This record gives sequence, C-alpha cells and structure tokens, in this order.
Amino acid sequence: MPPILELSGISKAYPGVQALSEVTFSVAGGEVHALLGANGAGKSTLIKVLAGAVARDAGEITFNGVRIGQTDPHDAAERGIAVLYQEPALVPYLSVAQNIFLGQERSGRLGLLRRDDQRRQAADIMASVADWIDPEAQVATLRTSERQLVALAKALLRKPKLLILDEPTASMTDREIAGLFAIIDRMRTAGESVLYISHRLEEVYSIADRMTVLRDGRHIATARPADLARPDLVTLIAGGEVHSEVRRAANVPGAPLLVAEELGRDGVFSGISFTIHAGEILALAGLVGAGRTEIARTILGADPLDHGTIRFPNGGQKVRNPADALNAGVAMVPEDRKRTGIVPQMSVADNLLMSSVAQVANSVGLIDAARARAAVTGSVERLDIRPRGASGRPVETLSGGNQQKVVLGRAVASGARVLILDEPTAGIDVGAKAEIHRLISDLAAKGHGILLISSETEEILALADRILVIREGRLVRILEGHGASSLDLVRSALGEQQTEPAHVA
Amino acid sequence: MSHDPTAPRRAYSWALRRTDAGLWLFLLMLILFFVVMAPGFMSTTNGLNVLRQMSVLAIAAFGASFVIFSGGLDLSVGSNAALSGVLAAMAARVLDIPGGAEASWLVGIIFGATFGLVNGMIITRLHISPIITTLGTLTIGRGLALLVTGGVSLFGVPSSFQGIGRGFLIPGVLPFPVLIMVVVLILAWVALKRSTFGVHVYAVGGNEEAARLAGIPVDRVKVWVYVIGGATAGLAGVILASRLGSGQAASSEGLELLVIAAVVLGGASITGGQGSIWGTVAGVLIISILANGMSIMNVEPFYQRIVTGLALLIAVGIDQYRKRRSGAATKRG
Repeated sequence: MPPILELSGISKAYPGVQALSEVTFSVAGGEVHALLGANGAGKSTLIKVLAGAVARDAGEITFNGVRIGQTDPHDAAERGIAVLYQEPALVPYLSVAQNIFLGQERSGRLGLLRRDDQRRQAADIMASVADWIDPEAQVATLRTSERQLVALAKALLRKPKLLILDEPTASMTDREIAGLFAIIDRMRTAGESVLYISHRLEEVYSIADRMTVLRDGRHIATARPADLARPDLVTLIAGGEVHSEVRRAANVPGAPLLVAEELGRDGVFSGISFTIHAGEILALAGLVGAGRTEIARTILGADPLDHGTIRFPNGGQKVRNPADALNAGVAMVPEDRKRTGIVPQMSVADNLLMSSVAQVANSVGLIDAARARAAVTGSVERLDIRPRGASGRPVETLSGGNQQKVVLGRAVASGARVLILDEPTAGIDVGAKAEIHRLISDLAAKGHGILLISSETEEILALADRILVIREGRLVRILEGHGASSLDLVRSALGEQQTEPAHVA
Repeated sequence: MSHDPTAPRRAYSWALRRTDAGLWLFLLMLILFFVVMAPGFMSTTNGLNVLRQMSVLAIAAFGASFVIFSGGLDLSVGSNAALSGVLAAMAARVLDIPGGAEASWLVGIIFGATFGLVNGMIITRLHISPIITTLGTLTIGRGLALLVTGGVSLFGVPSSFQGIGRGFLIPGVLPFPVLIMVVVLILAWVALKRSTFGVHVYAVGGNEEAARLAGIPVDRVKVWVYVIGGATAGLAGVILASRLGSGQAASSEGLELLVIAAVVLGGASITGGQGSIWGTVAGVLIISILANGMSIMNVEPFYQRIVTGLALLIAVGIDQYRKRRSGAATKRG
C-alpha cells in the first residue's frame, strides 16, 4: 500500500523548547502505526500538528497524495484525519446520539433535524463500537472511557482515512479494549490507517504493524515489532545514559519532616508510603496520569485522603485543607502556573506575600508596610526575580520563568519546611530552569524537605536523592537518586523491569 | 527596592495606583457640565445635599466592594437594607428609653451582618452560587419585611431614632450620614489596603484555586465578605429608615443594582480580583451627581434612569477597550 501520510522534516519550537525537530516518517494505507516516546518526547505536539491545532515551523506533510499547508482542525477533519483525545470534547447534557451528530447534523427540508434518521444511524454505529451504551443516554452519565468510545463513534461517522488515538486505553476496561481493537482491525482490513499512541508496550506489540519512537522531539527509529525486541525498544525510548549536572548527595539524612503511611484515594492511588527528611529531595517519577499530582494534592489537603495517615514528627495537626497544611509546615508550588499558581492581576508583591502576609502584620491583622517591603525585597533578591523594582506590577506581566520564581518564593516565604514542587520548570526557558534547579538544591541544603514531581527524567536524575516511581496509582519502585540511570527510571515507569530476568541471573 | 528609583513606594497597594485616572476625569467633566448647565448646582447647600443623598448608596457600596472584589455577588443588599431598617424601627418603638435609639440602630446593623452571614454560609457550605443564593435571600428578605410590617409603613417611631439619618455632628456642616460614610470609607480602605484580610480578598477574587493552594482559608474569607456586605447594607437601611422616620418594607428596592453599578463603574471586575475602594467612591459620585444634576435641570426621572444606565455602559466599555489595547501592548513586550 502507498503511504497515506508522509511527514518530512517537521519542526516545531515553543519558547525555550524545541518540541519537534525534523521528524520524518510515513504511515501506510491500511497500517496500524504505533507512536512511542517518554513524557515530553513530542508525541502530543506531533498529534496537534497533524490535527491542525498547532502550526508547524517547518517541514512538509503529504496526506493522501496531496501536500497540505498549515491547516486548521476543520480542514484536517475534512481531509479525513480524525483524532481521539484522552479527554474527548463532548457536550455533557446532550445524548450520545446528539453528540455523535454534533456539527454534522442530518437535516431535511426547512432545515429541520431528521432525528429518527440520526437515532437509527447513531444506534448502528454505537452497536459496532460499544453495544452496551444506550444512544439516548446523556453523555454526563457515562464514564471517561465510555465517552472516548462515543467520541470514537463520532469520529468513525466521518469515515476517516487516518484515525489518531492518543492513549485510548488508559482508563478502559478489558471489554472496552477488546472492542477498540476489533474496530482497529476492521479499519485495517478496510485499508484505513491508525496512528496509535500508547505507553502500554504489550498492546503495541499485539496490534501495531510498525512502530515509531520519538525522543526529545527527534525521530529515533521506525521498525516492525518482529524486528525490535522489547528491551531494545525501551532503550530507544529512554535514550542513552543521561549525564547532567548532578547534585551532590546530602551528607547526613536529616530528621523526618513528614511521614506518609499507606496513603490512598479511591480509584486514584493506593498504598503509597514514604518519609520526607530535612535536606532531602524526594522525587515522584512516573508517566503523566500515573497519579503523582493527585498524591501531592492529597498531602496538601486539597483533595480528600480516603486511606492512610500523614504524620508530622515536628508537630502538626491533621490536615483537612491547604490552610492546615501551611500551619503544619507544608507548602506547594502547583502544576499549571497560570491556572493554579499565580493570581494574574495581583501584584508581584502580593503574590509573594499571599501565604505569609500574617507574618508581616500585627495582632489585629494590619500590615506593617516596612516589614512587608523588606520581606518582598528579600524574596525578590533571593530568587533573583526580574525585572527588579517590578514588585508593584501585576505578576502576569513577568516572563513565565519569573512568574514561577514568584510562586516558589511564596512557598519559601511561608516558612514551610516541606515544599511540594509539581513540575516546577514546565514551560519555562532553559536559563530560568537552571536557576530554579539551583534554588531547589539550595533549599534542600538549608534543611527543607522537598517532594519533587517532574516528568523530565533529566531533571529528576539531576536533583533527586531518592526516586519513587509511580505507575497507575501504585508505588512500583524506589531508586537511589545518585547514580540511577535514565533507562532504569523509564523502564520502571513503563512497567517493564520484569521483562529482563537475564540481568538478575 | 530603595536602590531602584522606579520602584513604587508602597509595593503592596497596587490597586490604588491602578484606580482609573480616566474615571476621575469623567467625573470632573460631569461636574463641569452641571456647573454650566444646572444653575444652583455649584453651591455649598447643594454640595452638602449631594453628600447626604449619596451616603446610603456609598455605605452599601463600600461593603459590597469586598464581596465583588472577592469574586462574589450580593443581590440581597436592597432587601437586607429594608428588613434591617424595619427591624431597627420596630426596636426603637419598643426601646423608647434613653439610649434606646442607639441600641435600635445597632439592632439593624447586627441584623444586617447576620443576614450576610447566612448568605456566606449558604454559599460556602451548600455550594450554591452567589447569584442564586442572594437571589433567594433577596426574595425571602423582602417577604419577611412585608410580613413583619403587614405591608404598611411602620410609624410611631420615637423622634430620637431619626438622629442617625437627619442629625448633624456640626449643625449645618457635617451631617451624621456623611460622617458615617467617611468612617466606613476609611475602615474599608484600611481593611482592603493595609490588612492581611485585604490581600486574601483580592487573592480569592483573582484566582480562587491558587489562593486555596497557597493556604488561604478561602471559605472563611468568603463568609466574612458577605458579613461585611450585610453589615453595611443593614447600616444603610437604618440610616434610610431614620431619615424617613419610619420602617418601610418596600424601601431600597433595587439598591443592589445601583450598588453593583457603582462598584463596576469604579473599575472593579465583576469576576473579582480587581477594583479599589476609591474606584467605588468615584462610581458612587458619578451616579449621585448625575441624579442630582439632572434633578436640578428638571430632567424627568425616567430619563435619569436611562442616562445612568448609559453612563455605566459607556464607562465600562471605554475601560474594556483600553484594557484590551494595553493588554496587547504588554504581551508584545
């Protein structure tokens, strides 16, 4: 079969990061092509480029024999490219059938909907995708995986020539997965192609005709499953041994600051136990969606703790909300700076003081202007927040890296000994990233206990004293941070460590 | 920051500096217009008149500023004011003794605060949105006011009750309502600009989730802003009842909308996080001077409403336009 999709030299840069560089590969007609890579390898960006959601900087895309320019999502759909995202965009209060026909309604004369036609067709198509889902059911009543199947039905209605599936099985039951694979097989037989993104290597080996590995935005290899053994594939995904500025090990493990025992949240994670010591950087590693952020939010009291206990050996009460956590000496730099980190229109100064304003106020809550100014100046200088003298400006006018320093400065100023840093360098430029790494090291050296969540293997290897690998809500492995290899880390995150018994022998 | 000459003197009082200069210019032009067009507008008597007339709206708007800056909304201001006024008048009838008038004023204010407390508890505990919660309590409050008065004006209130609405601290110069307005303004300014509570209010309004994760007791802040908004609504209602010399269940109808208009005219964002008490002062002045000037010009009240509505739309429209332009400029830089 001739290729349906040919990518040639696709590049895309975001500020501070080259997400894709000169990616070249092709997908044949009637082929199931798996796309593999670690967090941040560029898979998501590539999907967005193909779906027309993001404009590429360079490179050519040929689809179905036609060279295509920068497209918008509508063009891509018209051409026959359908994308199934992990969180499908459906209208929750409409029925399954109405969602399937949303944007492509069947109408008769006078523009009236032909509802019976729609219902019949929706019922047909749902019967082939997931026969247990009632086409008249409200989408809001369905589980995530069922919504994905509805979105799949919606995509299939357009009879796409290329279907892109972004980790479709992450939340699916075995029955749903079997149904999905049956549909993929049917498409292959019909000469239609599938681009399949997954972290589950066993699935990839069972359905893919060929596999392409991306790493750091570059095309690493394309091979048939029969020609590439699983351990070799893992090595390709992980890359060689990474050597980055590695932090010196903490000399003496300090006193325990926070002891977590058998933490669990129903349906999210379970059996998570660890201790954070003073002077230590403890990393939570794992794939996006493994439950790391959820664990952090639970420790902070932002999400409920269903099982287990959290103790503070230095004294600290039961944590029911982040305000309690702050009193117990735990502060967080949240993931997603814009949505949950900064208060965009509030000044840099107030953003810095948010968690500690009571410390610069008298007993009736009146702020001592001089002390407030001193605290702000101290934070600005310690974290080198730029531009200087901008503390009265809305924080949203700063660069991303400086905004992140403000959020970090807020957590430090709160006086908390335990700092939870969730993706502290996501989306900021290389210079600011190095500065934040240095700050994190300094904080540990000063006796803070740090819980670092990062999707970047390099970042974890450079900073962590110990690494807890989380996979599907469970603590699967604890690695010694100094001297750990990126291969080991990625292998554990993918759940592949048991496939190499040869090493043990 | 002393090493940087461009550094602001008081770093944490950003909102005051951001109070829209254009707003005060608009106000100045409005005053000049009436000075020319409305004979008698520019006189000490009328100036005092404007201040006295605006005091009820201003006091309620100062409290409502806390609610709106924190991202909330209180539609029950008018009915809270009416009910508080009625209850204060009833209390004054019962407490016809020395000190009874003062006690009855206090009854109104405390009731207003309690009304706000109920709003805040419903919003934070039952997770009903502010607009729905206060729409409900608006209706309930008005119904209660009609119920306790039987739908008629409550007369027979001792004359001492009228002190807070009609009295003067300095006869002919400083009426009590104006004095109270200034005191509430100063308290509100200090609370918003110089207290930990103020920082929390703006943080909750600007990004509630970020505030929560930063350890701010978000629910407590929310309850308090409604208590403050309720207390000022109660105080406004007491002053009005005192001025009228009677408790009237139908009074202050629509006060909440004028209050919201004033706060938004003052540059506050209706979604919270932005605004200043001085902006609210300007908003109240614009609404009050428009009403006063047009009355002097003998403009029919119907037109007054139309003009007030237009002023709101024009002022906010210009503000949005300027923000979009300056926003684009910041992003380029």
